[in-house]
Amino acid sequence: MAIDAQQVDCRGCGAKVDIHAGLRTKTFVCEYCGSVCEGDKVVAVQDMQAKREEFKPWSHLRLGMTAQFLGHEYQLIGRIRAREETWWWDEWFMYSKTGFPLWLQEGEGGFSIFRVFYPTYPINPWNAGSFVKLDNTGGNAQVKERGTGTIAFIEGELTWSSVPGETFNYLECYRGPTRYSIEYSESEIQYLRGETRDSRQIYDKFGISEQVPPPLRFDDDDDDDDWEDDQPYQPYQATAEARAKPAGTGGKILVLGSLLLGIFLLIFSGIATGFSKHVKSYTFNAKAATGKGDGVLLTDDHGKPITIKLPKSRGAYELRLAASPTGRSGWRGGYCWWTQVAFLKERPKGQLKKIEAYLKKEGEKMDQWARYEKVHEVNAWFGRYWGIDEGERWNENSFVKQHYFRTKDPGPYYIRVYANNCRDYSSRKFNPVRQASLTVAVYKDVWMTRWMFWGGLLLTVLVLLTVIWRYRSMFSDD
Amino acid sequence: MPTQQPNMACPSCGAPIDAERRFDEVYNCEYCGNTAFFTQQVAAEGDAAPQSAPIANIFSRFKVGQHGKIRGRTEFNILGMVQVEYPSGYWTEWRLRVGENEYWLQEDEGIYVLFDKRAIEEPLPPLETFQAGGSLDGWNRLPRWFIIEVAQAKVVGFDGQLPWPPNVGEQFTYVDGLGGGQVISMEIESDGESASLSVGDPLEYEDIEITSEEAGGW
Repeated sequence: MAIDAQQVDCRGCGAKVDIHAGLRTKTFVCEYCGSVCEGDKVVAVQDMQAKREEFKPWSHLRLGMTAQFLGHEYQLIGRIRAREETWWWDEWFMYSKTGFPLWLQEGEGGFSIFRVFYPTYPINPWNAGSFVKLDNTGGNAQVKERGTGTIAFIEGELTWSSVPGETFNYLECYRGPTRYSIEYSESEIQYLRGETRDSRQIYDKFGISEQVPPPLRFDDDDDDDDWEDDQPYQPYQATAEARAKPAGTGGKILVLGSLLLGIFLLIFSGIATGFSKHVKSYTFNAKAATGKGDGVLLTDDHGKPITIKLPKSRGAYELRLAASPTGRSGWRGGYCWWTQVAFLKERPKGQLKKIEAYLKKEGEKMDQWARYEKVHEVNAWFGRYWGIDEGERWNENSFVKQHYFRTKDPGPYYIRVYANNCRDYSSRKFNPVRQASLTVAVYKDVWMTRWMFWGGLLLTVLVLLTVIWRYRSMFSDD
Repeated sequence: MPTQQPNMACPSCGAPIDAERRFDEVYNCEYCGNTAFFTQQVAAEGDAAPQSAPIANIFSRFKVGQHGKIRGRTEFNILGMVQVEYPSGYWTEWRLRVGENEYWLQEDEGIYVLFDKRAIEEPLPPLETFQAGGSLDGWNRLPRWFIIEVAQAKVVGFDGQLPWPPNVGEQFTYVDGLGGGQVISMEIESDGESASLSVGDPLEYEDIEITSEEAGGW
């Protein structure tokens, strides 16, 4: 049952105008002359003949229609067409017989119903962040739109002052189907809470049997032929991309900056992973030890272990050890030369002290660099083993090793290289090494880029997901 | 047979006006169809000389004389009402008697707030400190409150029994805010010194039930 109408005189032409909210009606529009009346004054005049057609509703809703919401009957008594740069929406004003208002918003996202509320946690919309929490009904809501709207057209009646051309600031927040809308000015902040409603449900509530029009897209592609309706679409054209704008300049900068950083980290980790600077290669020839059974030792000319000073490195060091031990061949056995590289740091008085270094585990690829272990030295064997098992000849050898390590405190750093025959060289299994040489190649500025790679990948994916979520309406059919 | 309001008649045709419409400012005569605007004589407590106040059809679920319950347990009677016009529209304040106490139920755009008066024990902050989006911290032993509205308003009508004669048409400044889960409202007279302070709890529509026969429907 519709709300009983009262008649008041248009302040412009004197025509009788129906109002439905008594003197709660603050603004009403004369459908004949287009006067927008407030109290006993005409505050604006709309060219109704042109504007009514120009701002015809997108849906089949019309003023005067009634529907049940929350168990009570409401009537559409007013409508505002608002715009924000390149997109538009309608605010349908619904009123109950006892003066309870509801707002039915119709836009690109379909329908949403709002009512005014007082938030438990009021926020200042002038400096709201990207996420806000207004009440205890759930978690944070995402601020998806903010801007300044302009009233382009009014019809029917409203219980507040409103005039075409008037602007208002707004903030739109989403949390699943729950929506928050904040309209604010220098003198007032109004909070509304609502939820999205299925378009078919809205049509059914208003008793509209026509097919629900497709969602507003504001594009000029005429692919809506399946909607058999005699009402042309809203003539104003804008792109959905333009409407689905990011949340403010700060948000744009944040999203763009995060994306660039993510891409940079990915590219840099890819380029830098294999990048290193070759410092120098040292080749040493081992000599037979003086003591019996000591094998072939690697020493300097003074019989002391080889010590190499490392250059400063912003990244990690890479050591490439290439040994060429030789021994007596035979049907079975082998020969084995064992090396040890110790890490040293120079103390203030010049003495060298063993320190811990962070060594990448052997066998792991460079992009798994973040997994390293603390060690004082690294051991490696070089040589060959061979034999015959079940009639099959087998052969194993190892002549090249790579080690990656980094240090913690400022240097200077040294490595000390020891080498000797494996301890059981004299057993029956092994033949003694007769001669050997070791080449030590030092590389510096080897970058540990695993964290960059994963960090960049994570950042990029997060940004892309955010953008997809923001623009999801473009990928949705409804 | 409808009760007729003495001395009230359609100014166009002279037909008597139904007393049930006595609070309408806009009256659509059922005989001649004329739309008329009225003023109404309403007495206020302590006011020997009734003053003229236009009462609008306030389109509310409440009426003076009704009784009901808040949240199913707190019974109230509606003693009187005041209608206030502000830049965005109108709000209504209903004077409730709850037991021996009195409260004010504010009805504005579908929001209900049950206000209780508070004494002002500290000097008023300067008016220019009140701005929507600003806040006030520690004043008058109130929690920090966030200001959501500052504007001017005026009483445009009233009905029933009121504790004071309203100054119809006289503008005052009101400041509304939120703090500690409550609504805080202050009305500052035009002299900038006299003020009243109210603190209230927001209520949902469903929290208020009209139990008298005149209960309205949503």
